[in-house]
Amino acid sequence: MTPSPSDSAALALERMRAVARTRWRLAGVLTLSMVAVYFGFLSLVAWSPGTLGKTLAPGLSLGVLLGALVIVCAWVLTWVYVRWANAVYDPMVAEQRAALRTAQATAQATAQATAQATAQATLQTAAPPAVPRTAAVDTSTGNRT
Amino acid sequence: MTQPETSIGEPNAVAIAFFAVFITATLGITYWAARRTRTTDDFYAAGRSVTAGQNGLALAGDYMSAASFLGIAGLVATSGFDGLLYSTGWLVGWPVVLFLVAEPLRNLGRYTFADVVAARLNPRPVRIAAAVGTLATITFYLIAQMVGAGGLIRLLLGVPYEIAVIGVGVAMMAYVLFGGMLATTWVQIVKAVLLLGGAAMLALLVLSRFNYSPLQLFAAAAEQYGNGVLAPGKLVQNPLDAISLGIALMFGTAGLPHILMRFYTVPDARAARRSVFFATGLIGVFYLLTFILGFGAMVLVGPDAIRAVDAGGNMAAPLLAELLGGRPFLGFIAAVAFATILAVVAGLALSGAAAISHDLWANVIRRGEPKPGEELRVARIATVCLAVIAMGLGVVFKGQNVAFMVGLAFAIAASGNFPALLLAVFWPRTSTAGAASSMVVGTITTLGLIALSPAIQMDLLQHESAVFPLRNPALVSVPVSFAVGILVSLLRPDRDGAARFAALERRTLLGSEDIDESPSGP
Repeated sequence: MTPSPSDSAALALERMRAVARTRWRLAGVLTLSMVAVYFGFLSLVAWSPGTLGKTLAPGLSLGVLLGALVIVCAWVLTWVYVRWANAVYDPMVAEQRAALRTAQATAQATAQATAQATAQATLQTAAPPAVPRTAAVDTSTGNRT
Repeated sequence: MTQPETSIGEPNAVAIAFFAVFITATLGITYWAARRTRTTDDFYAAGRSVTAGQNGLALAGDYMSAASFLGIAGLVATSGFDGLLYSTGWLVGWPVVLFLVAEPLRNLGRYTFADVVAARLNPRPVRIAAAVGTLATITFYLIAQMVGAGGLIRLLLGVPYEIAVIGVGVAMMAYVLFGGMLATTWVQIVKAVLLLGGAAMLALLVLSRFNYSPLQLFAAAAEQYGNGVLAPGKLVQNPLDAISLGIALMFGTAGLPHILMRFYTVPDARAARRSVFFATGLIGVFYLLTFILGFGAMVLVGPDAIRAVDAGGNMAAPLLAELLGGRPFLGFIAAVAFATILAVVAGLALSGAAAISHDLWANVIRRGEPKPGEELRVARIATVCLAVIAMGLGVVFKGQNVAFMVGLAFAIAASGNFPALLLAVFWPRTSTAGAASSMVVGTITTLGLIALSPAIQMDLLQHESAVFPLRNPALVSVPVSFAVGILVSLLRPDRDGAARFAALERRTLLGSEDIDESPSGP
């Protein structure tokens, strides 16, 4: 038995959600890393200023070094995200967009066929075609079957 | 060396010449942009035609205000390491913008960040609340820039304070009124290039005296003023104050309306992402440069000499420029500082005008169906009103502490705008009542705690003590805003909230253009 068109649309939607969740997960991890780095640095400033005053080399205190490293960390984290998004996320989104378009087109064709069949069979007022036409876009599709 | 030999405060021919060139060039850009600004898309979002690289520069231009250029250099020059706290705090806001808001914002909104918060909620209460948060942030930021502009221009060019404020207001009005976002973007780009170029040149001149080694520069500073200048100093007295300021700086950036608005000028989410990457790089370089400039001014000019010219230390970079490059270079740096202020106020005025015309007029008063051309007209009227108000407030608040006002603007952005924005795109159960009350309570809590803080109670009103001990309220107001948003959402859910979030999720991922082009769309 082949899956009904609304099933494949629901499946496409579910996959899309998985892609979105992947992005939020990475975004969350990277945000927390930035928070940890910056507030770690700030905590040292606030509660242990003496530590940061230690001189590592003439002119280089631990505080100046760590402060510069916070800026470098911000660069590295944004670079990691942009790399990932360009290499992994964008292709995943493109794939989902294509899958959703296909599912939409199938659903639309089937719905129109069904509507015509219903209209011919009953010879009464035809089923409103507007409903199945937008069904694939309407995200409540998943609950219809 | 308490009273340095300086021409600061006298009219400087080179500064005036550079300044005239800048004004002529930017008005030329405005004329060019005006002929391409016809629709609301053009006016608010430059027709979505800005490239990622251009937007990266423009974002950096919007962000690198005179407060950071002159203020941080001055802070480092007079108190050493402590200035680094501000530089790092202002930079770490950018990764947060990239990870959490840039892409959802581009995919969900059209012109303002309220578009995003309202995308799946009942628009009117949310837009009213967002407009309040936007205008509160914009107002304090504008006052800070105006007051800073008046003071700086008086010092740098010898023009009276009031004339300087009015001049800045008129130029800003011209850019925004006629050229909209396209002109504002290019003014930002020109300014960012000038500012980065000027700061890099100055830093190179400083380092040339220290064998091009920053460490030798720091060592010279430590030798003259003690190792204390390389360690946390008197700026951090209360540990919680430092943490609170950090929260405001880190999360405030992701709630600044004029920054968020820039993401609508690029064609898609991918370009939005790349533009933040460029901006983070440029801004980081800029803050590293200001650190060099600050220590350079400390060693070569001296903290006492800097304070003798301006008690706040703001003249550290200009004094350094005069010392190293003579009056012509001072003139160039002065003109760059002025350009910086002009560009920032133009961006602020545009986002304030968008909050009034797009959020309040078109979507609240006209319920999303303004008459043709009406929204643009209201935006232009709002621009004129904002410019007049900004000039008035600039004169009224003459002599106020600029850094304090900017800190206040960041605190409002972090607690009024950011929590609702994040909850709206991320948490499925966020409701209309929850988002609106988070924005209103966040803004009011911030303003209330500031009123009770030592800055107002002790410094301004001369009371013995303050009810609220922290100078920056973000440590309390940001969690309060999140808590209110979450609690109210749970208590007052929207009826069809789940279905609306599912639709929003799809748009967050695929962007709105996919829906508009979709053959089965309405």
